[in-house]
Amino acid sequence: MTTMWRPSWLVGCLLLILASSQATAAPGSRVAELVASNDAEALRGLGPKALPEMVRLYKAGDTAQRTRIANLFYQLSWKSPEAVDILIPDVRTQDPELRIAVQYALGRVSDDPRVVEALLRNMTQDPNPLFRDKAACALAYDQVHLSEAEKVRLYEGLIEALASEELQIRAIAIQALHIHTGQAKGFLPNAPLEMRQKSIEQWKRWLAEYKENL
Amino acid sequence: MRRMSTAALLLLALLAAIPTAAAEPSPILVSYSWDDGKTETGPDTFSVFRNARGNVQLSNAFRASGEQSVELRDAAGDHDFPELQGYFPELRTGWLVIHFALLVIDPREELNVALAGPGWFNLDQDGISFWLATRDGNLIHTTDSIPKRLLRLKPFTWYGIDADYDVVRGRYDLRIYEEGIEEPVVSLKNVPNAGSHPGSAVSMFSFIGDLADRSNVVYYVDDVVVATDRKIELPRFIAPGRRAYFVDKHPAPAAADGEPTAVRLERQGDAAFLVRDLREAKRLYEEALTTSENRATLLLKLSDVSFLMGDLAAEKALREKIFGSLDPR
Repeated sequence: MTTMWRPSWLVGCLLLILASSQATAAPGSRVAELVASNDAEALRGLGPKALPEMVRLYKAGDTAQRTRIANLFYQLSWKSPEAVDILIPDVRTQDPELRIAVQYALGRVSDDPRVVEALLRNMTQDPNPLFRDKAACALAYDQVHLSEAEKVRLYEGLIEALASEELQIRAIAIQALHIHTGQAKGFLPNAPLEMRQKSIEQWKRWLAEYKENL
Repeated sequence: MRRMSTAALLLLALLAAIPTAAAEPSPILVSYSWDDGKTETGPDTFSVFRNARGNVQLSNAFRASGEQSVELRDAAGDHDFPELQGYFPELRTGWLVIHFALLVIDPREELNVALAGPGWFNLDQDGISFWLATRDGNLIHTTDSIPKRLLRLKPFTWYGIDADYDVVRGRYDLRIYEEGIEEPVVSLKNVPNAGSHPGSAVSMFSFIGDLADRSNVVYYVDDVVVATDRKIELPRFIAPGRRAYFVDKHPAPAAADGEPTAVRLERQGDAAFLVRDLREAKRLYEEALTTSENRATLLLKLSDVSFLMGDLAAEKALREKIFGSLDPR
């Protein structure tokens, strides 16, 4: 019978001291340097203590700087309420690169319900089909911090979007649903309305069962 | 397990009927008790991934039967997960019977067990058919893309999992036996597979920690059996972990203008291997390795050469560079 290794109290205390010393913020100049050189791996090496300075740099930055930092948030995938707070205002920016970077980054930094709502709104209401498509991509691939319960709103929104009058919105909604569930339940975006409605009913029943099992 | 379930007894009877010669037809596709010395990794057995700070190895700490089981340990925040990934011939029809025993130390830590096909580990057609996981202390399965709770797991307790999977209909029956309890604690019938895909092919199984890198799970797996409803004639093992030499499965590409030197050397090495000029094959493969971008295939071909030259230690070391090892670290 083997025994699991457990640190002694002394080792535990030492680890605690080390951990608390590492929790202090990273030097701002170093973070700024790594942001400027787009060095996600080195930032990862610094750990989440780099986040406050990244948030500050984002607030103070121009569009190019914001785009770069949003892309870094995406790559680092660290949960951060502060990052959500600064990214959300740019989720409807008309700058294409910043918009797409922010849409992709949001789910990587948070499970905040505002993120799914903002992306669903962009996917279904934005006049620009590119932004709609990229919002659907973000909903499909980047909501990495959502729990199974938190995914309910995401699924609800995607299923609602299957009833859109806009063909592209129906197409990207079913793609996102397929990526999450591996299924289409017979939904074809360009099928006659009656056929689509039958499939939407199936999706609604599926969602009800999903909720029952939470 | 202290008390065997009826299903487990039936399974043991089935195992007892396994023909001794591997070439004879048998319904058993996979059988690992970890007590019979059959721990060779390879393309026709299983791979072991001891990534980052995680680990997979034989252990005698806990076992459902015999003397050993396999221990998997994940480490949160290490950007990877440990994995025991096993292979069997792809099935698109018939029934598959799956059995394994599972013991977890802390049920709150996440683990995942899946049976999948050539579509790999996702919920698409030919992807995952059967998916068990732990979440917040519960054992769950994913059916029709919905995670559903099966039972509250007890720590340090063996569970026997039996699934009968109808490949064509994409549905399974599931029974779970808890150590010391005769009747199944879970018994489900006619459940849609993970992504609700009739006809979803199966060809591999996998035991891992978690994908979100938040798990510090430690768990034990024993008595893994995958059988089918008919006898299948599997080729005999030609060398440890493989039913064909790597040179036969992965020959170098045909000659082409401007090809890298390493590819030419590999092709010449293959030719030498095929006429069993093993020293020349070894020399050519080793020279190819110095510049090749395809090191894995060359290492495995060198493993073939070592096997035929009788250098079993070198064979093992080379093969395990790619497929991993269950030996204690």
